Amino acid sequence: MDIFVTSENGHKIAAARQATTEIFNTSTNITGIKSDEGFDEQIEGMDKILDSAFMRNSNLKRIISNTRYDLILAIQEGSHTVMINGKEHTFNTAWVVAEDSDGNQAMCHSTGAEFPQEYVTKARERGFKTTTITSVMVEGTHKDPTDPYPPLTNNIVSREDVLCQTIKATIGQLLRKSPNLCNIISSGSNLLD
Amino acid sequence: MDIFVASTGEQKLNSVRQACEYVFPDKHLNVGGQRAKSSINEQPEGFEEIIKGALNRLKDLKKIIAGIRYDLLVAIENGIYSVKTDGKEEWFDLAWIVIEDDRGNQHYGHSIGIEFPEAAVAEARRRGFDTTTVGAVLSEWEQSNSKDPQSRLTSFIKNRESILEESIRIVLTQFLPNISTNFNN
Repeated sequence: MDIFVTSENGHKIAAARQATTEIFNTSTNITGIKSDEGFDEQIEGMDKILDSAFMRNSNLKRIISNTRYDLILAIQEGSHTVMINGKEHTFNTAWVVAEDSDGNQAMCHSTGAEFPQEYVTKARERGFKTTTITSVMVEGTHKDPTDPYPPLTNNIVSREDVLCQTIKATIGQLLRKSPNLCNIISSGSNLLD
Repeated sequence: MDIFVASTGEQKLNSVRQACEYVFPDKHLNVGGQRAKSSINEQPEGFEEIIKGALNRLKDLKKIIAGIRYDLLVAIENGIYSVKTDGKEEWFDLAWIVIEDDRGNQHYGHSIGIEFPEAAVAEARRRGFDTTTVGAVLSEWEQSNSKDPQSRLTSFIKNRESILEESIRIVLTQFLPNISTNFNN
């Protein structure tokens, strides 16, 4: 099974591998390709994060041109802010867009983990074009600037776990539209009734 | 640890219990549910209304259990919201979680968002969001569980309980630096 992921990031590739192995129970060739040239480092707002995921998907298809694939996974992380009890609260979330070889698509966003507002303010001051909230949060530590979950969850949840569950939910939705992907699922699976 | 959930729904209670077992593996857990009012539409729409529903449930729960000691209160509210992409409106269902400790500290989070068919949203709106959920419409159309449309919509790869548990887990972890040592065993 040939799968392309719109990033070379190790967390995303590992999450894609885990999710697709669990669902399809077959050998997978997963290739990650950078497809976010020109994007802001910190994407803000649900609409913009989802749009960026779709742009990654389009960019990847342009890059791989006529290469055959079974599944494309576009993953875009970002933040969104809501007012709760009169105060701003900002959450990290990732949108996943999955597309099969027939062009059927499904989308889903991840759980939202709250950023401490002081880091949001600092990153915004420096400019989201170049600075992510996570990079500010882990400054002066040896923590991974691409994984906000360990510092946000006391090392209990990882970005890989969160993305894996989101990818599984996205593919689950896509299976309802995709005879090709259903055919890949090994016989004996009872995912679809 | 004494934990009250602002609901008696089995899925919500199980998801809270499982999340607490994961985050506080060494604690003895008493998880109880109370039927608390959200005082909003049966089908909440938009983050503002969904969060309001969760906060209202929390407030009502505190009234119901007045005088009883607790370590954590958990309120969960599901609802729908839309995102515009490429000029098209797409609908998603998610849950917002509010958890409060005995000192009044609150933490928040939300679940993954599952796509809801636009036609089902339109039909529930036509019948009235005050009485009809999109899940109820989907259960008529697809013979699915009205309390767990997420299962069928994800080809049974995910279900509502697992979705809630994953998001509650993340919110619970945010209490750890401050108060985990104070919880009673």
